[in-house]
Amino acid sequence: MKSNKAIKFLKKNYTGWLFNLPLIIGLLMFTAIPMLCSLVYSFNTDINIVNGKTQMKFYGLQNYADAFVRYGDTVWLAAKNTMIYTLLSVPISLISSYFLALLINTNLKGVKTFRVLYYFPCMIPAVASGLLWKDMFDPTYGVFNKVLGLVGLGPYRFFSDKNSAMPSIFLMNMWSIGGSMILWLSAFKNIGKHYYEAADLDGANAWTKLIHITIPMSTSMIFFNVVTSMIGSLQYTGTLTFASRGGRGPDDSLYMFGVLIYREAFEKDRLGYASALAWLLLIVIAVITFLLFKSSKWVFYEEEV
Amino acid sequence: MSVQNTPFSVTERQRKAKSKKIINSVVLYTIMTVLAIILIFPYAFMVSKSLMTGEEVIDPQIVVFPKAPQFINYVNLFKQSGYLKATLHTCIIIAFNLIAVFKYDSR
Repeated sequence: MKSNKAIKFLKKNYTGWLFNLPLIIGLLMFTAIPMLCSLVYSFNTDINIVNGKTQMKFYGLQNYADAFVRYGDTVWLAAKNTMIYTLLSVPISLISSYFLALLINTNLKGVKTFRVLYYFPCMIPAVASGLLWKDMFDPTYGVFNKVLGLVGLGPYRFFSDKNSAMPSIFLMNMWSIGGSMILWLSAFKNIGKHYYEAADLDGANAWTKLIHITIPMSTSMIFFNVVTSMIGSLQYTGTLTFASRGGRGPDDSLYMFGVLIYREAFEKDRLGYASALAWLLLIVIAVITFLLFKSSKWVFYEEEV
Repeated sequence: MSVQNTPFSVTERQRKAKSKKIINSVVLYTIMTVLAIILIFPYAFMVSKSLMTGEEVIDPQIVVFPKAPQFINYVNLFKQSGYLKATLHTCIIIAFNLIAVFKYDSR
């Protein structure tokens, strides 16, 4: 009876299903099935692919227990570094890109050229960018130390010192704030001009307009940027390209959770354990995102008014 | 009294507003230019390094521009590194992504 209903439903919406089929296949192949595989792997160990067939030993929840007990120190260190990186890099990059966008949100001549110039660094692949900054921050040959040396400063060890490694990453990330800047600009362009005209009539200055119009009207974009930047930061693996000791940095000061997963999966061949770590990271990201959404009453959506 | 003063006040106010606008523009252009130089410097540095010889790259002195720009690195790029093949692979992925986005993005 139920199957008859299902067949009738499919027949009735036959064309719609056909149109959706490529999307459904794509989602299954590239999202759902790989996620399911990684979930299965996370409960197994000694995973090998022999003649196209996956062989593995059931390990129960041991991979998850290992993350907390057996390798707890390493996991905790990576989690702590990732949290510090996220808590500092998200506000730094968002606030700086916000003010950069405010700066170029004018009608001055040539401002479009500046927008392109600011966005330029985002067009460089992350690997090339990492190598470039590794070269510029080199303690011996790096251009930064050469320039600082001219004014009697340095030499600094940047990525090679555990105290300066993390701040150096923030400095490096500032280089690509053009990406967020474009998003802020699009939010500013969507704010109705009539708000500013009304404020002008009331004699409001630039600061008042920023506090009472621009910021409240761009809260939806602030929220979007906070959520996406937070997720991106928690998954950060950029140190693999420029940090010493296989992306861990001096004294493990740059050992991020993403790097830990990568190393466990592809360097130590512990795919099951790496999958368990990935699922733990997913849970953390989901919880933080959920909390962000729960606390998003301050977000203003103009279309809902 | 106020009628006599109006044209003068308006002109004075306009002049003040104009000079304020010019000062604002100069300040904005200065900040924007400084930021542009800071953001473009690493990129220009990378391009400059690509035109340097091996000795110039590791020179302890600051070498901003190569003495005699040479393109051997670019020649090597095409001859030795499989650059064209990698570019082809990237183009295939871009094409696939673009088709997928335009065809199936329902928004």
